[in-house]
Amino acid sequence: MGENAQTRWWRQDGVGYVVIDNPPMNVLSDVNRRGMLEALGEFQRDGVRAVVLTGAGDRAFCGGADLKEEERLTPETVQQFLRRGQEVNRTIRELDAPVIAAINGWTMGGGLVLALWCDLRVGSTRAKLGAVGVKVGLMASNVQLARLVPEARARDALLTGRTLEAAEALAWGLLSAVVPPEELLREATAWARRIAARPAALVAEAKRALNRALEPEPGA
Amino acid sequence: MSDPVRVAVEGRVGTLELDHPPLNLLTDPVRAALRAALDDFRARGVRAVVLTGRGRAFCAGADLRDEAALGPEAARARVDADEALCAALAGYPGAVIAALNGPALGGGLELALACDLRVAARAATLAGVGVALGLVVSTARLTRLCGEAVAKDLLLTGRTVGAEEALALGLVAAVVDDAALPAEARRWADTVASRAPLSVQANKAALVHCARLPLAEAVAWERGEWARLQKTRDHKEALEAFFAKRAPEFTGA
Repeated sequence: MGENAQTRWWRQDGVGYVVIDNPPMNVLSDVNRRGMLEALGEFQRDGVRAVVLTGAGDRAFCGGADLKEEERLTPETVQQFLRRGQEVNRTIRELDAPVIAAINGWTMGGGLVLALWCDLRVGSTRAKLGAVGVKVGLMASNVQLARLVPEARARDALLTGRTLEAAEALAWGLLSAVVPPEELLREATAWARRIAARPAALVAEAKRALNRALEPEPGA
Repeated sequence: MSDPVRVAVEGRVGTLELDHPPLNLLTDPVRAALRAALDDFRARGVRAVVLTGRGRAFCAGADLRDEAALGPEAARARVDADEALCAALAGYPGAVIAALNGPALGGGLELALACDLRVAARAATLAGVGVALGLVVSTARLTRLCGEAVAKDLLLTGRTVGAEEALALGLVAAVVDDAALPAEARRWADTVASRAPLSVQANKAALVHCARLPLAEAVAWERGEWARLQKTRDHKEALEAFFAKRAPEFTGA
């Protein structure tokens, strides 16, 4: 259990919870990135069997990078900025416990990247997903989206930058379930407990195998 | 003989309409006209292209009457010409949207699969007819676009799918009434044409390039592209527009 100015985390019944709390859009910052890393590190040490990641409030899961922070980047600081973001993504990917994103609202840019690096996503009816790189002259979420959904759909989302509503994201398989907003945390917890009830070592092994499943074979 | 492809440019969107009645079969003049038009669009900075068929078919593929007479070398040249056309569509530095007004069969399906996006009228039907003709077509593109399960279903049976099923399979992005198709295709084209061109191009290239890479290398590539695009004028324009609460005006620089 812990918190910093923009992140809260706790454990309950073998499930770890992390909340990004940076209103109004829960944009990414050094503070909440550090909070997520600290929480996930703690969960890994303590053998937490499943994790739920969500955003505070009912407006956004995560609105992505803070554009004010991003505007100030220089050629010297840009790589560091990208590394810090990737560190959170990699930690989610390499965590033994599956991470479930509970998508409570807007999920755009770096926020979509974060959600796509999670192992599962469940959404409320307010979930809105946008691969907005083409709207702001950047590229993000290309690699993960192309692995999670067939290329025809990845092209649609990435080249138009359009917003996917919860129902469409469910049809695409990007969300595993969609429920009313007031039921989202309960739904995410149900998914987490279902996983937490399985043998932890087996779940971790299955996650590692799935992480490797799309890797090209050596020499291919 | 009239031109087998009607070409038009309106704003930042180009339209290619196959006009080779009744089935818009692919012939050498059709292939040549499409490739010439794509070259012209590229030179003029056209940001999105709509490919459609006039009349009742989108494109029913190659002309089987003259294919029967082809020797091995000519047959090989025919396949190469088809692939060169598909590569020109896939490699276009902007989005290409197939507006499926009717049947897209065989080589016509392949043409649609080489586009970035497909939107369909209710009259559209799609079939990978290779197994019906003793040929292999669409295996690579369909598997990548829709996954192995869908590709094996369609290509091993050769069955025809209607517009609604194509939507459920992810093969087309939208289905509309027949009369609404041109406007719907135009709407998708306008959307992509309004986006940052360098970003659209980088995303297209990454979808091809990163699919072959281990995840860590793909992520590193994407990060490099992010840093490259972050320095562009269009990205600065996007930030200015965001803070000024106006729509960005991208120039492709």
